[in-house]
Amino acid sequence: MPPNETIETFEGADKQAHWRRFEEATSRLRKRRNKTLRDLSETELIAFFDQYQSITADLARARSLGAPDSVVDRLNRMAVTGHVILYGYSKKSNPTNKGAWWHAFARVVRQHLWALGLSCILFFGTAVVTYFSVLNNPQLGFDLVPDEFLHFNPAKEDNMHDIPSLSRPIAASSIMSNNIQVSLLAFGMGLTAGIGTATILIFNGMHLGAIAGWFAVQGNSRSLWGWIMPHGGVELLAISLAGAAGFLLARAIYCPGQVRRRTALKQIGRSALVMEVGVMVMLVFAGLIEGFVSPSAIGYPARMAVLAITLTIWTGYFVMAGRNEFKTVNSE
Amino acid sequence: MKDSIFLSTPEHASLEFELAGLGSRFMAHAIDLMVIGAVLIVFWLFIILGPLAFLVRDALGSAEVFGSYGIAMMILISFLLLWGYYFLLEGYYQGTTPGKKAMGIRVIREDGLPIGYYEAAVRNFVRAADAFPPPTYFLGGIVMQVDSTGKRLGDMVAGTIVIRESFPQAIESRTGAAWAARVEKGHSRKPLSLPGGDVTVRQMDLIEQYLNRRTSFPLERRQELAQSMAAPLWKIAGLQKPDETSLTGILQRDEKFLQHLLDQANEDGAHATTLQIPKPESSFF
Repeated sequence: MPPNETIETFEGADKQAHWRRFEEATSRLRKRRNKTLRDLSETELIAFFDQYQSITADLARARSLGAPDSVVDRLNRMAVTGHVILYGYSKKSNPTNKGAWWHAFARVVRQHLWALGLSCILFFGTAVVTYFSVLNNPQLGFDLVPDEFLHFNPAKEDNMHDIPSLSRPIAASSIMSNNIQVSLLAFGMGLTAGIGTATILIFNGMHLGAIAGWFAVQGNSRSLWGWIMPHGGVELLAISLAGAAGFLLARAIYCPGQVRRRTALKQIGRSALVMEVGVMVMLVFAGLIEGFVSPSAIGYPARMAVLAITLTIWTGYFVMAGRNEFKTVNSE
Repeated sequence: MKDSIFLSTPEHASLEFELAGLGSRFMAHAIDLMVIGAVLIVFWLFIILGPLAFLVRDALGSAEVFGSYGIAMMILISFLLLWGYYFLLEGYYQGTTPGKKAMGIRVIREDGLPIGYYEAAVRNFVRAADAFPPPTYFLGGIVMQVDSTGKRLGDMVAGTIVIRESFPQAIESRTGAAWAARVEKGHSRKPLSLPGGDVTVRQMDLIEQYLNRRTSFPLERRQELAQSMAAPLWKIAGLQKPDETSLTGILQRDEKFLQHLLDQANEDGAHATTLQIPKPESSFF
């Protein structure tokens, strides 16, 4: 800056024209999102960058010289728009992010097996404990079993499979959206340092165990398991994985490692989101089976087969998908 | 929570972003909820009572089949709207929703760039934690107030901030326009020499800003400002203050004096409001 520069002398008449040119250029460029910079020739591109740099310089000087707010604001806007046009639409190339996109879910699950383990212990552990508690002390059932299951007394063995075909779509869609909602809650509540996630897992495990115990007490186990089997394996696995996604977030709060907690949260965010989106996909499949296969009249062996097939497919996916991609890069 | 933040670019320019406050974000959310509610009601009416229902019933000859699939569809649509509204709109419109547009706010990345579907997904799928205990947004609100850049929990995971994009400029732009007009004509303002000393350029700018904004102040504040600005200048100018007794009289006297000094400084007397600064775009992206 020349020594005697004031707010008035740093500007010449051409400055205004220059600013207006830049504004016209940006408003032309930003109308067409992704194609913007690619359409410019090399000289045009360089010229645009030069213009942008002089705008940022003007902004800095206008601030230090105390130009009126409206002028600073105008220059600030121009600089922001230029910044966005120059940097905003480039795809970040992430070398560790190669491999087929559909492998990502399996890879994240394999990388964070501890989270799945913790989630399963809380969920199934509570279920098993509650199951045996109700079995030993049926009175507990009155406290723990939801009302609609409490007085549900299947007259015949297949009663629970027998949803009229007309209401199956409704059952499928409401079950699906309810499950996905639970998975989203378990995921998001990871931000309460995992407390919310653990609570959701424990309560759901308690429901499951209590209902199973209640039916066992009444001697209706077979009809319950027959109903649950076709979709249950995938569904329960998916809920555990949603809890695991929540615990990924929680871990960034408890043990951020070398970085600040908020940085750790940002870093784990992508993996946690991949896991949650994968869970939602699993739940859509499980919901379709629950709506259309489970209530059908197919027999016990067929139900078992569905369970075996779905579980095999998903387990195979988790174990195998993308296994040989960048073995050496895997640091975590 | 701060009012605005500065971000440095690779060119070492620092860009200023004004942060959106709790109030405007809450209002934006309320508007969005109303939009969701309105859409849902329209859909329900359309499918259950409306022309579509009759059309399908006539075609299939059975209302029941449609009824069950229609309800199933509605359950799915309601769910998708509730959880997908923010995700899809913020992802597609680079950080705005109808509610945010109405309040003039936008979600951007911490580095000043527009957000994409990834950020939109993360910050909205963890909403459960912010809304806790539902639907009060108590936890999210507390975190926002404590955080220096006004982030709720979802913003922290996604690495986003919410900024104000458009704000009223009417008052300032008159000063800006006068300034720009002088620049355009190549006039520069010089210090004004008076018998008792100089009035600096900065002081002249201040006087100009005051005169342009004076009607926006409460009367007492206006009197206070005019007096404190004019008092030393009367001395420098070597003039005798005309005696005034009433408060309005004093105010008029001081303001007339300030205007007189400003006209003198502007040489050609151009108190330019003719040149309009082009209205800035209402959005950054």
